[in-house]
Amino acid sequence: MGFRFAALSTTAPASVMPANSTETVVFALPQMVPPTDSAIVALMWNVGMTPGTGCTSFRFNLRRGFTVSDPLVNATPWIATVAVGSAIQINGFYFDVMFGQFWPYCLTIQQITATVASTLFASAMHSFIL
Amino acid sequence: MGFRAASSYTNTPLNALTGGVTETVLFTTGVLESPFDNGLVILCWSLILTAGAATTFIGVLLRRGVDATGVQVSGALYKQFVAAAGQYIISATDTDSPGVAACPYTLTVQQNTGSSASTYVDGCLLAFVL
Repeated sequence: MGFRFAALSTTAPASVMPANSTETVVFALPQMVPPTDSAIVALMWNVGMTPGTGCTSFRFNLRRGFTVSDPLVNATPWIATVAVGSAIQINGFYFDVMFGQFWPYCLTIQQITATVASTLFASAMHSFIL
Repeated sequence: MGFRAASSYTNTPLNALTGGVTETVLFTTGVLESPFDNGLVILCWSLILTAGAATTFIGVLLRRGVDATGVQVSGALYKQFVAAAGQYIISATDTDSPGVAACPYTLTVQQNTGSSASTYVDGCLLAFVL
């Protein structure tokens, strides 16, 4: 008998971007079924975004949990320089080792320093155990 | 009886980025256990950096092995055009079919002539067998 490792994905944004620089949960994945050992979780995300007025960069974070106060998975925030009004596709990969615990994951974005909300399109987040 | 396919990963930069065209090893995975057939190896990487003075592009290569002389996996140099002092998230995927030979994988970075070293922020290299 074979088996399949857990995988989760979403293309449904959890929130729309605000018209300010508040860190916002864009994608949230539910708890992943724990592996039986310290197998890694591969995390993949892709974001299509049209930066709103005043937005010169985006700050991305992957977090264990559902909220912007949960622990970071990436070592430091990931910042991408952008131009207002110019749609851009940004994607990233990372991994986590969760040692048999249940963890949800979320992707957050902070607009630096938007006064008009940026627009999200054609985006997704995936996680799966290797 | 099930099985787990091999995977290897790192987010530990081995060297500081250097300016100019010198190819610098940034990440090297552990040896990926041999697939028992010609299984495809998927390579995923992300690189987050702040472009150094006079930097106009960041070039990335994937190689088999642990140094800048290993067999090139990438079909050509991944070239991301950047502006000095800008912050960038650069990510990509590639595939390799090493046959049954176990090998580590290395990601190297190079820049344009006359550029100053960019500053590494975060990143990772994942390799896993399908």
